[in-house]
Amino acid sequence: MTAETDVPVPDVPAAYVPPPRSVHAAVAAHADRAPGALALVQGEERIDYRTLASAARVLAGRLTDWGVRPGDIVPLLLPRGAQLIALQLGVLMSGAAYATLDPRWPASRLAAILAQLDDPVVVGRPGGEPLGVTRTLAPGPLAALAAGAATRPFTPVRTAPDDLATVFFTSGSTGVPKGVLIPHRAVTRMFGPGGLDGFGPGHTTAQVAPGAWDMYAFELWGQLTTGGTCVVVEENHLMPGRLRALVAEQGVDTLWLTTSLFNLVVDEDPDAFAGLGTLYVGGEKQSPRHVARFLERFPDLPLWNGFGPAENCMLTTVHRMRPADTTVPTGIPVGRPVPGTTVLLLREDGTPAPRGERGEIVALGPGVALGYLNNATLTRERFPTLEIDGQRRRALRTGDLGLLDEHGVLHYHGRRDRQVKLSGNRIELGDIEAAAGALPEIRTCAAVARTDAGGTVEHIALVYTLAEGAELTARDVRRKLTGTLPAYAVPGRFEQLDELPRRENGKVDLSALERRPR
Amino acid sequence: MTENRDVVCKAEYEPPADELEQQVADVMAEVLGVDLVGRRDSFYDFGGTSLAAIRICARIERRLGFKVDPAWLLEYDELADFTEQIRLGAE
Repeated sequence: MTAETDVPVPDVPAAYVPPPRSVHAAVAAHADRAPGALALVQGEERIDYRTLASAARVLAGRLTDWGVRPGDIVPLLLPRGAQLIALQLGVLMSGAAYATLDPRWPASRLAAILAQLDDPVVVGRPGGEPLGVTRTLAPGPLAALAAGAATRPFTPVRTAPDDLATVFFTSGSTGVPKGVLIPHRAVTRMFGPGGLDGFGPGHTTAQVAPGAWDMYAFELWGQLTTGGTCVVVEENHLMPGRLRALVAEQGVDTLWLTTSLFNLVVDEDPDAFAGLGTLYVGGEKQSPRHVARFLERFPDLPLWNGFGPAENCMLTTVHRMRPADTTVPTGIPVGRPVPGTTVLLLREDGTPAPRGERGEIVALGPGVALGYLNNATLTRERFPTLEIDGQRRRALRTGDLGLLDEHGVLHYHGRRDRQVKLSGNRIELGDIEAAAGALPEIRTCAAVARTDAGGTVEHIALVYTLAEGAELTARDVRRKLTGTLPAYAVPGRFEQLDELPRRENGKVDLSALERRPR
Repeated sequence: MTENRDVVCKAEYEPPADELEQQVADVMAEVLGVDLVGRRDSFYDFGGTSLAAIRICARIERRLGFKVDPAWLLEYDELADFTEQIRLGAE
């Protein structure tokens, strides 16, 4: 299928389309309805909806004074927490969109992203590494910020559901991070009446995902746009013991975990899940063994497989996992579309694949991103306009392969390209090769993902040859790459060879390297 | 599958200096799938990832009763330094 071709796709079932809402309007509606309801918890700080909304309005006023205007994209370089959440809400109230960047990323990567965003207002912590920060916000309780609301009133800007809300940066295949442009409607679409289980008044999620991830929005806005509560976990790594305390002491009942962390808790301390009401797991292929073990221990605890790329915000399909799923030969199904999303499969020639036949997974509906930041070519390629039942609709070509079974349940069959998922992180192997190839000591290199028997990526190996006369140990290569790649993308194995194996056509034999024993 | 330390580490093996280092070394070796972890061996030498760090710390918490933050291991990646952090954290 070429990007310019419009493809007629018949027989797409009419999907439930929730009322489109902007993120901050949805939060404000709860602040008006139940101002005293608990919105956020961080350590000893307990913040109700009134305080959160007031603090966000004060910050929106400040952002406007700094020159932020509707349509801008404001980079935020703050650690996760209640204050960052109020600031994100403040950015949205000012009519702008936020891009949360991780202050722990290498300075060179942050600089590349800030150059793409090119916004004069970059908010960070005072006294930290400068990293392009132009405005600062000192840590402090939200109640103190909210107290200023009376003296500096601010009326939130009305935004349309199609307006940009946030930008997520993901690994790009050539070493340049890609910004995914997410509108308000994409964030709000799956929550609320008729939406996913586990959100709304009386429900509490733990916020653990990194701020730059789309699943951060799931944990956070899932509750705040429906009147629920979000507990901020300050640690970046959720330990089983901490999970136990979150459930027992903070009332956390809804949780999102990446597959590998779920597997770890099942292995190490499965009782830590006791008391949860709804558990979503995803970001990687599910391990049937771990799912089976969990379901034996908690047969009545709803365990959902959540699937989908950031370009169709947060989740595309979900599947309530049952013991029978753990014996499906092609793996645990990824399920049915979330509210407001339609999934279809396209053959390589662009025609729709009938049920039971493999094709590229294509998503339609309000979750589809507006495109990639400053990259019209890639946007046209991944977000074609398809003609469906006589209507022209924007679609996302996910690059994932799969099939719909006779019940309309989606099964995932891998990638069309060299993107891999490791511990829930999306990594382009080409990104790693670009970073390693930029080191003058390295002559040739290839990054390969090695999987376990179940097809889950175990580690990424960098296999390389050195330039003549260069002396570099594996530790050196690792250290240098931590300067350019985010920690999760730094390979776990480094293997120096005299020559890389080649195919007859001269290309590096990647499958030989994938099989190479550790 | 347990790997031989000397295949991955070029440096000379330096044995753990006390009981706590030995106990931490045993957990690291078990999770990282290697026969031995020396005092000056880095967690990263054996392919350590943040997930492996969480697993190691969860086992140390459960078996030895110390509160351990995986971030310590990711930053203090050599056995002796990581054990020192555990000791400081317990004070």
